[in-house]
Amino acid sequence: MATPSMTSAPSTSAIMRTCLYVVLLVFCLFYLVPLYVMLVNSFKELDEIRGGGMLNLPENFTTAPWASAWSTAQIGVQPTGLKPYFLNSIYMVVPAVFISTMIGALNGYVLSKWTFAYHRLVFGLLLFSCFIPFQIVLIPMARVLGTFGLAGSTWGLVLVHTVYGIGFSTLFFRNYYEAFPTELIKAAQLDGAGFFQIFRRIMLPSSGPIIVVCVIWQFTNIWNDFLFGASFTDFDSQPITVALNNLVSSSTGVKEYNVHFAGAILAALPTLVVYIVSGRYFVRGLMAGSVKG
Amino acid sequence: MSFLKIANVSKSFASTQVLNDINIDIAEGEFVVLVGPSGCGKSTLLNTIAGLENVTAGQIEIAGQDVTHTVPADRDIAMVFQSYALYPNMTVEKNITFALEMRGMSAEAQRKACAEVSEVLQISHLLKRKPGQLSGGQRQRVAMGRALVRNPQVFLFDEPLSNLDAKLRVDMRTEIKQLHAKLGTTIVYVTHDQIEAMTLANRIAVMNGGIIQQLGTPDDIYNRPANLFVASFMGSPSMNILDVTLAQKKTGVEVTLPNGDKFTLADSNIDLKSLKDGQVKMGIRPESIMEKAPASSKDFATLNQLIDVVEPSGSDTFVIFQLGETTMNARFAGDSTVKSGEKIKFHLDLRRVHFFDPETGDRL
Repeated sequence: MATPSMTSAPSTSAIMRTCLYVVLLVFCLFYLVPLYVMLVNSFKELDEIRGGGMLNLPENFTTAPWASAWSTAQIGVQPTGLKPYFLNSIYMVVPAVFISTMIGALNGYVLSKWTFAYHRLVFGLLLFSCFIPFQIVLIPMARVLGTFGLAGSTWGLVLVHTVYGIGFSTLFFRNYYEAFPTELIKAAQLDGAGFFQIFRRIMLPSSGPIIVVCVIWQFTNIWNDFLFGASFTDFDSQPITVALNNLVSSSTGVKEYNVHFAGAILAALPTLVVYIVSGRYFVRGLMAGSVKG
Repeated sequence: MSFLKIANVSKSFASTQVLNDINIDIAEGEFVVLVGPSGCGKSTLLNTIAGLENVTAGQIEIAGQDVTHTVPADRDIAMVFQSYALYPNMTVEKNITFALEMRGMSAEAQRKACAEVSEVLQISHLLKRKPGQLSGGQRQRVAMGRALVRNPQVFLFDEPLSNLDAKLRVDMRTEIKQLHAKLGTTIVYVTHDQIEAMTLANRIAVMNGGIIQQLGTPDDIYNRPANLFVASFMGSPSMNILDVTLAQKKTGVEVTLPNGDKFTLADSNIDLKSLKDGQVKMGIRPESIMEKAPASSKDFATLNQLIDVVEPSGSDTFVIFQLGETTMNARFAGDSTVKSGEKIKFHLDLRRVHFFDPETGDRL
């Protein structure tokens, strides 16, 4: 009785395991093939792409499409390449991520350690802001930016993304700080530290994992945003997502697929780098923040 | 002259009253322990002294200054927390000097103060480490160092030993007592451990339900408990409480035990005349029930009872027996040879019985 079950148990699990890996591999390919196509074709000459063989490796390896996408491609009316728009995105994403993370940390600190009447309600309303679709705020936001004189500028986008990011960053930090021992705050109070001293000297230095989570989250969302970028900027302040769209969907001349591929990869590169560099902290931080909270 | 004065302090959270009209006067250099079961309000009282929680009513004075509405940092107190509350991101040295830095002391003076304190607590070799790299006992020392370095008017301890293992706890208890003897600083110490309370305190405040049940010396608390709660809370195993009937006789007060046995109290430290006839609660500690007694002494009542259980603990032997409905616990010598199932004589020390009002629980 015991013998067959003992021999069959590992073999079933081996079959199951093989099936599992095959399925996973298929899904993996499903996601990786487009990237592969983009990558190999970005190094081909246009003639070679027209000749078909999308999956083939380049015959005449060339980096010209990359150089073109970066600095000479026609975007809108100017042959500037993606470079100035890439910089626009950097100027937008760095302050927006920094400010929204800091405000989120401060909010989380107050909502978990300096609670006041109705703090739950305030937190609930902040959470609610995570679920408001972008489209709904377009017109009110346009009015606000107009009033502040920030319409059509990078700083306008920084403001929009900061405001939009506060909901999520507050959620992250509040849940993380909820598990943070309150006795530490009390001890610091007795030691004579004030509200901001406790925040800066005690809370922030212990917030590494959740800062990483928040930065990755905000960075990807803000970098990849198209709608706000397209709605609230003029030609000089467009982020790279909008510029890429202008590059790809320009209707005059020849479609330079190799340049488009290179440009798309360029636009996706920063988020890719952020994930690869700090991905494992991301998972760890997510667990630390959410499970204990 | 009271140094730390807690006057009519009450505290409620929404509709629950946590502290109810607390009054304690603590003299300079005194070691006062607040003890009670969990939820009795002892930690809340400590937090109000620290200023971490506001009082709903009443007043707190430290060294003649009304500090009722003063922020914690300006009360000149230091606190040791149950979880130690060491800053995880700072080294031991930084943990100890953080308060000094916040008070604007020069780096040189900080280092000097830290060196002195770490010398006293023997943690000089740990100064460069982070709290995560320390054992429980070492963390405890650092937490005390952080409090000591400020040289405050009052030390507050919030169950500082309850996270340590049993042996370390006893060692640290002795050290805290030595430290107090050396420094002479006023200490308020919260614990749920009655042995800690008895061994450390100059005076103990036994709390229950937000009320101080009794405030007195360990001797008072143990030997003259003010009510049934104090009597049964302090002491381990706890005091035996029996329902007895009293009747005034010519020779003294006749006490009828639950099993029907009677004895007469003739001479006692209790004012026998004041006892009224009828049902009361009688308390007697396990060590006042003896295996051997001087023959024919009028200070002892003898009971013939069957032993239920014998629990040897090395230094003592605990003997459990039934008296009517009540389970009784007696503490015999460690070398006692009694066996369960035996019928033996138990001798009650009549000089050390306590009577309590069955309604109010107050001592008679």
